[in-house]
Amino acid sequence: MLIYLVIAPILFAVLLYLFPTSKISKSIVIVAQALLVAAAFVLFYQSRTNEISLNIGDYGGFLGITLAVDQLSAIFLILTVVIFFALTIYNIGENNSKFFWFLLFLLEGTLIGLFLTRDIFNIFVLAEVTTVLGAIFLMYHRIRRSMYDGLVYLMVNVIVMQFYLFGIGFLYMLTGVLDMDQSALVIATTLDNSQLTLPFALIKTAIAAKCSLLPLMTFLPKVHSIPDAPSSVGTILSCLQVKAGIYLFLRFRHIFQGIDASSFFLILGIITAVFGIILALGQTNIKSILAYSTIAQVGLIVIGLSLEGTYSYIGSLYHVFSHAIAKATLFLSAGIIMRVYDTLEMSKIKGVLKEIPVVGFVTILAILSMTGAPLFSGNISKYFMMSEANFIIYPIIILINLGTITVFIKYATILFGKMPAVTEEEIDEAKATGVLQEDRDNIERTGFFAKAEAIILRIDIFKEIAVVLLAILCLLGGIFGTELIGLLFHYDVVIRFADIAEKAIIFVCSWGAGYFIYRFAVKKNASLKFIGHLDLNFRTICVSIGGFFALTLLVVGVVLS
Amino acid sequence: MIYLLLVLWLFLAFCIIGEKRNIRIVIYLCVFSFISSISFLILGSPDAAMAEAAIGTFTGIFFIICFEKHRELRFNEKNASVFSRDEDPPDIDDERAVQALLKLRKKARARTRGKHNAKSILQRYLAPGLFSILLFILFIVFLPGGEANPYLRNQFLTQFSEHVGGENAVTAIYLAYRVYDTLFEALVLVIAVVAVIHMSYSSDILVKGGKPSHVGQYVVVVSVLRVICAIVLLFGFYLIMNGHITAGGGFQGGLFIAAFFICRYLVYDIYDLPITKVIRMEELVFLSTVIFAVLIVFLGTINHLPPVFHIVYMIVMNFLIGLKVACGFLILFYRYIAIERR
Amino acid sequence: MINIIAILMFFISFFGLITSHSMIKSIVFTVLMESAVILFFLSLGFQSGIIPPIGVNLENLEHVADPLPQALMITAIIIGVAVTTIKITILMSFFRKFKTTDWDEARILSHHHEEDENNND
Repeated sequence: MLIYLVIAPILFAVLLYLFPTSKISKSIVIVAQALLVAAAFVLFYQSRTNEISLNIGDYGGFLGITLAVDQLSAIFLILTVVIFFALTIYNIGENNSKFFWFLLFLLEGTLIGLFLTRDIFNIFVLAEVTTVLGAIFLMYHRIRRSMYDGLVYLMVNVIVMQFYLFGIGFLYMLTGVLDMDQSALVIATTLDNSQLTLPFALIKTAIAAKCSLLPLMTFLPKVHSIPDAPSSVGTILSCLQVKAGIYLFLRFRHIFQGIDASSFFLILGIITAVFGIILALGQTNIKSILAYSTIAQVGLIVIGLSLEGTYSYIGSLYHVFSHAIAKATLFLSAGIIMRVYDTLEMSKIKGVLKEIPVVGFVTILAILSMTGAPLFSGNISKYFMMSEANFIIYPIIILINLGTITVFIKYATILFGKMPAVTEEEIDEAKATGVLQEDRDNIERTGFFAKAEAIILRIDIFKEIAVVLLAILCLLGGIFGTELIGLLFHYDVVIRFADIAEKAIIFVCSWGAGYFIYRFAVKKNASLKFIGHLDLNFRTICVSIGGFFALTLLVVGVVLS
Repeated sequence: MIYLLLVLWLFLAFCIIGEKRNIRIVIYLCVFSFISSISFLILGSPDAAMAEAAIGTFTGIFFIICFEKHRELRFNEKNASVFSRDEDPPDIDDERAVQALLKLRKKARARTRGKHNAKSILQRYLAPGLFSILLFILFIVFLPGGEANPYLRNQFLTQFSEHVGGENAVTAIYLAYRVYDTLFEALVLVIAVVAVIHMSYSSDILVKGGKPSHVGQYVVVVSVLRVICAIVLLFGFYLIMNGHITAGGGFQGGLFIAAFFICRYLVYDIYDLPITKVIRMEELVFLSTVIFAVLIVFLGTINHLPPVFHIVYMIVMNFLIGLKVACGFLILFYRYIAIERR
Repeated sequence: MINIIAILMFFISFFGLITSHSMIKSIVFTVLMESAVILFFLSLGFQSGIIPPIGVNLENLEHVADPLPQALMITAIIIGVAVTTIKITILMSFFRKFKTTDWDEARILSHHHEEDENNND
């Protein structure tokens, strides 16, 4: 059962590619995806009673590779299948080639594999596969900008994974095994911290880069928001690959139990969140805003995970869930907006609520969830995250949330106003460049000019269904928050009404403050825009990876010991 | 011996840092991978040595085909720039971008001109060099002490012949204990093939644009290759079939078989391989590898089979992987040849 | 001692990565970096007079190399070459469009160029 969840999508993808015609029957794809979701949920229910594990080949003695589902894996597993299901619905109406479905299913299979495996080296293999697939997916349309960013993405990830591999080498040398649980046991019983500093720093460098903590934070969002890449790939990278980094962070924290670097990561998380917000405020492109706000939220999650206590741990993991769903909603609706307006520039997008009301409404719901409004899933996760924060961290989290609100007030400006009229010149230009005539390359850009020619704009109904479904999930995650947490974490939590009321007051005040900050400090701030367009070149990214490695080594080896 | 080789190895890395001509960089890379291969052999791992040797050759070949398609790339960085042919800036609308490019060009020219100027080299390399040395020193300082834990090594060495059979522990590991990894490794090759087909700009999958190799004029090369050709094919099959007893296995053998086809291309100018069929075959072989592994290992069947079948399993698996790797590299090679010069 | 050489190699290629302006060089240096890590893995438990883990009754012999890192490194080598071919392909397509292999030039060009018509699919 366990292994087929990984093998089946891969086999299915290769079969699709072997399929003689280039058009793929939509019902096959949707049925396959539904089966996967069903299988994942069955596995989840089985794993609630006892941990399911499978030693491939039954060799025992840690000779083979072990796959297992525990609470942590189950959460990420459910998240993966839900988001991929939504992506499938989103893309079903489009004339995607079989290559697209091939990539999508392979990515799903390898990501599920990444969350199920318990072998340290197997993680390296799967992470390389997902990186390669992500890079190819980014270059799906083979357009200039995406080629440069795709190459940088591939190179940087390969370099980072070499650090990881080096770390595995030391771990294998010291523990003699590759199984996670066993190596955690060996480390706890026989090794001391001074021996583990180097593997810790090497592996953490790789993981920090994967979940876009400090070293890569100006680069990764740039990749997630490449305008020419399909919206689906931005969603996968921003919602799942970054979260895979968080997953590995937790797994390796368990392995290196002896090294308590939580204060280091707490500070890193705060810096990441603050920089993420500042960078997000400087963006002028809707996808970039979403991508940079992911960085801020990852910082928040790392803060929550670094706090001691069960409630903040649960809150952070729940935030992984709620953030991924809300971000997927926003990314996919940004894809629809781009299709209608033929641009991603904020200044040219106005009046979404009036032009495409469904998408506008969904965007509002997702923004409310992201900013932690009462009744939404973001509220529940932030509530638990803050419930155990001390008097220094508590205001910091509120300030970060204020920053997030400001970012989304900026984002929400696209909802209102009036759609700019199409001028004669633009129509002529469109005719001259041939945008009107041909939908070359299946790029998502036809609507704006089509409207000018008075052709009735037809948005793909499946795309709307997908975003509406995701938005409903945001709402359900808030209303049934405690029940969901009980289901996911086996942990009965109580939400006090007084706290919720207090949070609601803080929330309303934050919105007011956020609006004023936006109005007077952000709206026409040139220096923010400058910071937002800061662009690291490849060499600088490599330097920052090395710098992060040295910093971690020094902090863990000298300061903390 | 090994230390001498490794010092040469380090020296080659410095050569690559100092070198400006791309074609030489790639040749250094080939030599580098040759030396690594020999050192791996001395370190007691003939399997990895063989894989590295074959892989080094293929990487070199791919680079050289790339340079052959874009001749201006063969020389140095300066030639491979937007301003290579004429001094006109490229046709960009944005004036700022043009200015930035011109500035970069000026800097790059200053860099190449100051080749023999010790001061400029110092300026350019001092800070990065110090940074790298700092990282190296930190790494050495925190190098974990203590003996290596030989738990898994001993387990594998004592149990592999009983569990899996055969005489090669490495093959036993990657075909039985860690076959799950091996499947993903095969998957990466499938993805690479699909990606190369998708991303390279030749419009046709079939090798219509393929050119004769023009090796025919070099009589010595052709006659040597003609002899080597058959030996390479035989050696590839030998490696696949005996992967469970001696060094070698599916990957190495598959690479040698692909090398045979490259020799065939060079000697006989045969470039009309039915590539679409090979692609289809590659994917079918991948599917059957996965299904075979699922049936035998993942379901635990291997533990109930008599030991003779373990050997059969390993031979079949090696054969499938060999076929897959051979097809994969063949497609990559022919695809690279097929990419037309614009 | 061999592991020190591997680490030195790792940082030499790191130095190469942070100084090189050419994409081709960067790709080559990632290959060198991979080789450094592979050498490190294979040198685990090295002693002079080591023999490969091939043959029967290996458990009675003393100087047998560890088979696991070798199997892992074959995987790493194959993955490395697959990724390298993808990189070379991107590089070729890239060079065809931009006529440059310089990182800085490529960055400027890729962010400023308008999409031209001969996409040539």
